[in-house]
Amino acid sequence: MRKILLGTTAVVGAALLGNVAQAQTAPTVRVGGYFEFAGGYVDDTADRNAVTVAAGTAGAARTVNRDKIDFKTDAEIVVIVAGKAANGLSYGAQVELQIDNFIPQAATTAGTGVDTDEAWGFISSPTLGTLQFGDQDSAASQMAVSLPGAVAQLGMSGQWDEFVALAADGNRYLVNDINDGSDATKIIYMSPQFFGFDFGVSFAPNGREGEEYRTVSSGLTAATQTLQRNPNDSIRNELSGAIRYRGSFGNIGVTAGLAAHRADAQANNAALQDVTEYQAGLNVTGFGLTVGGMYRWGKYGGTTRTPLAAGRDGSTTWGLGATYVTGAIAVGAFYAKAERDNGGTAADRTQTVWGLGTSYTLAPGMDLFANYSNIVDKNIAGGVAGSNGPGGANRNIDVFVIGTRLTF
Amino acid sequence: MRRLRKVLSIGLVASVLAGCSTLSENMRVPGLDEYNDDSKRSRVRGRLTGEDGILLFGNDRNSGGQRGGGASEQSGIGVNAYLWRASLDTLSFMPLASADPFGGVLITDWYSPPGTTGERFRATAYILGRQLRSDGVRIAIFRQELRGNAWVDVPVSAGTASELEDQVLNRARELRSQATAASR
Repeated sequence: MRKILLGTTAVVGAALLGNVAQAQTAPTVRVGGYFEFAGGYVDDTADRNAVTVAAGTAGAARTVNRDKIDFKTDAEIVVIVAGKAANGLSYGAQVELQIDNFIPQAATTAGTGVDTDEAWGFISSPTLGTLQFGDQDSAASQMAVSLPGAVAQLGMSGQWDEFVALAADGNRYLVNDINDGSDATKIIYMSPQFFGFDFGVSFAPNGREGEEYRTVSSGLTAATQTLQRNPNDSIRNELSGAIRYRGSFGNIGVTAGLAAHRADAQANNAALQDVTEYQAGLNVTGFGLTVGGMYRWGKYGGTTRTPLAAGRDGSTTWGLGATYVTGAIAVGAFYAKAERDNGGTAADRTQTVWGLGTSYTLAPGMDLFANYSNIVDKNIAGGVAGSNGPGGANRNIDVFVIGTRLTF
Repeated sequence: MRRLRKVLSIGLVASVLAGCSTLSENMRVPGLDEYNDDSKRSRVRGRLTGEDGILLFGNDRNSGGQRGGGASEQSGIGVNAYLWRASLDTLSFMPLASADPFGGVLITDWYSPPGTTGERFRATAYILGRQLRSDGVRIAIFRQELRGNAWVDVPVSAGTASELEDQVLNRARELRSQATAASR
């Protein structure tokens, strides 16, 4: 009897091991993408009397308000290649072509140019983890835990920022998650998940992306070229990492994460501090409700991974948010606050944002959404003290957005 | 002493198998869709095309079972595609003698586990329908021992077939969840 047991155990054991055998899959090429249309109503104190109309047939010179209503479109086409080799390794690449939202200054070009967003490849082993390489978000960004809200098409700075003018210090929004590495060309390793835990690390030698980077203002020569390997060109040696936990306890799902990022400042400016950023986040989900919070801190300026001037204190951002999903309807809300040291004895710039949003899934792949954001800015660097008009140090903005997005 | 060694070796094999299953149950490589994606595309639930992108080139192995795990028409086989593929995966450690995807019958050739040349196994799997159900697969195991120069039929431990059926069902569940995740 024992012999029977031993033999049959061996067969079942062989079957268990047999499961590891992977079927080879010929590569597939897919094309996906999205299209979005949104209309915005903007009430911004910095828009009041912000535009000067020169004297002429329209009358004497005067200042007028910016319009409160605008429409915008956005779209992206994604080419997705994926396959699996007979040894179980998955491989593939993804190239995203986006309509860029940046219109060159001093040009009348329409905001309809197409360039690449992320463009990257990957190799994934069923036991060793995944290697990604190319112009892709950093490991910290891919694994950071932030506020829930994506499902309600609501983000701390994702909906209202493109409708509003730059502040006097050049930054529209401060509330934001840990920087995504700006798609600088990098390598990223993502570990397998063990008992709910996984981690990732990424490295970019410099801040540039794409094939090659050389400044070409008026004729490229050996004397004028700036290679992306030039230590004066951008931040360098960007290293990012994150660890996260995902698990469920009964009907309650928990996601927690800690992400970190560091980089050397440009070598030509001794008055800059090296960049460090950290973000801790927690999300708890149950019965359609997700509640979450994030705290981000470190030596970073601007909206993202800009080095801080020497002597300035670190920056912080924190936020709380919740979403509720029932059937095709999702609703969400958040509150977030960010602070930046303005240097010297100047008071810190603070930005406080809260928002409400809802989305309705009309069909799988097609959402209708509407949201409202309220932004209060104080002590904008370079702004006129005490003023909340154009160029002022303070600012109040209300933005209402309604739109639709379809994906395929 | 010899008896003790045998008992110990059985215990060792059992604990290694148990350890493997605990680790394998709690270790996996996350899919690419389990990382944050700041694309606006990733924030919409579902896809208008029902799958992640429009297939331009290549064969889509996942499209066979996106409708509740029951569809088999698209995959061109007569029985449930997940159970069929799971049976193939599970029994692939033995040489295949016959596989009929329309009738849902899979017959392996004789196979001796490594180190046990004196016995051999053969398995037959029947996929019983188009639905992904726990009673949708039946496996029969046959075992022979070498006595002198002849192979003689001997009984098989009762739980073996049902353990293999469990393996098939687990694998089918994995395949289905992978296909569902891919189509999200």
